Amino acid sequence: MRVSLLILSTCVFGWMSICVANESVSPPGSMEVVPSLEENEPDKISVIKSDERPLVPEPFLNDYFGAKPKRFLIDPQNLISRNDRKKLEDFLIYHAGDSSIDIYVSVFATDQRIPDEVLQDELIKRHFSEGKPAVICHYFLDAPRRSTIHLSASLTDVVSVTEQGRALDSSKVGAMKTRSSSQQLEEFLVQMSIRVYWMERMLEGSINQELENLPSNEVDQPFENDELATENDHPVWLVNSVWAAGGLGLSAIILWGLVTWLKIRRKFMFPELPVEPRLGGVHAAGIGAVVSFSSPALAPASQRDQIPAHTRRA
Amino acid sequence: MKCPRCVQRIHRAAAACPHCEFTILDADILFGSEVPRLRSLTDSAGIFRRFQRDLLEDLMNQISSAFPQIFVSIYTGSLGDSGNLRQFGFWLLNRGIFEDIPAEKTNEAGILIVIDPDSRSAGITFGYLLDPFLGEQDTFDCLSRAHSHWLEGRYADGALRCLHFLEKLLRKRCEQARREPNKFEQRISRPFVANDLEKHSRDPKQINDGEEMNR
Repeated sequence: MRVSLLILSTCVFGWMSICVANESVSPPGSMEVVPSLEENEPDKISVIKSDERPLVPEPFLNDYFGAKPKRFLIDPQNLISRNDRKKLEDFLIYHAGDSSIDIYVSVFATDQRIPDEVLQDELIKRHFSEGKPAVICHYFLDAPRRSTIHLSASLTDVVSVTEQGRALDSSKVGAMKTRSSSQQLEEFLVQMSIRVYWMERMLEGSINQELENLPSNEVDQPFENDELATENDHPVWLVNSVWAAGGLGLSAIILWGLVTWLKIRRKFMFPELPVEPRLGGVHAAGIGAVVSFSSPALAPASQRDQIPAHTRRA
Repeated sequence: MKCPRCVQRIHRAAAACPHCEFTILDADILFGSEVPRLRSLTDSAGIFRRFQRDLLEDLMNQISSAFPQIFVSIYTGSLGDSGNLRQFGFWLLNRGIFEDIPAEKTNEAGILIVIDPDSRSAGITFGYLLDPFLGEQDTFDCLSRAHSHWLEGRYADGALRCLHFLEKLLRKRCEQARREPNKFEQRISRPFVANDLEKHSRDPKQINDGEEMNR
């Protein structure tokens, strides 16, 4: 039983990592691995070409992309139940009242595809170049990993691509914690709201470092596609350890320098003891050693005993 | 304590050597009665280069700074045989005036290193201040540090080695004197003379004590 559970969990993990890896790199027309039904059923994996997905029905395109949305939750296809929609809209309105950055969510069906003719960047520029900064999410029901975000022009200058990727990944991971479609979207938005708070701080000119201080459960995997992601990915404990080691080393050097300086500066005083003069010398009669260095054969050791010349053996 | 001429042992308060009757006056006859004026580093033999003299002077000043009572002097010159070297050191430290040494530092606090490149020998003489703290072996150790350099004619290197060791030795002795002052006081205690025993035996207090003991 335990062995089978272990195998099952290994499969789930493996499958999830494959999915995440493939989802994050999804150029148009490429093959895409998508779970067919449930998130926790790794055996039922079907491979669908991105080009084979059905497009968003044309009548709804204008509602989605025609003008700047009047509501924060854009669901012209009525994919979400009324109760859930109200709940989510209330949340987004509450967020908008509390934050200087709005969140707009366009909800699409699981396997729908936004037509290539829709130029996202141009639409964002057109609709959101004025007014409050906004984060526009394209959310696919039951497939949170396909979600994408776009930032209004005022935010793209401040929030790096790395941070955008982190925000999206964090929201995807949050959504995948549950199975229910509505709860997944709710979790997605909660995580996005948290991340938007930090974007707001960055917008206000706060330091990027604060992003590193997020609680561990909110710090997600780095955005794998972005090469810049490696810059600030050092764990906090490693950075702290390096700083601590550096501080200790510097303290040791300073201490060593101080001790050396004190040693150099130290004064030595001999006690002045009364010594009776000898041999008529007023100042000195301390006759020390005499060493000859006339020959290498005459080593210092042989001269240790300073004896009168007439007593030396010839 | 040894006599600078006959190198025989003498007692601490000897007015003249009991073996050869040497005194400072004999040295005056040998080296002159004029008062020699010199600098603490006098290179009469011309064995040091300019930069070497600077190095030596720096180290000598460093020692003087660490030991405010003491100064170190180096003299190089031709003196004849090594027997004269001891006498010359004794004479120079007693008669010499070191012009660059502050007046408050008397020659009693001096350490004189004499190097004779002709006879190829060197010796150390020191003043009464250091008499209890330095011995013949200590000075021998200092000079033996320089022996290999002097053997090759590298006089400055040898002198530097000698001074470095001297500085370490002085620090050590100073620490020892601070910890065990009695040890050094005993070294210079008044020499025993025959009259002392006589006085000691005739001390009335001791006689009384002895009588009481007998009773």
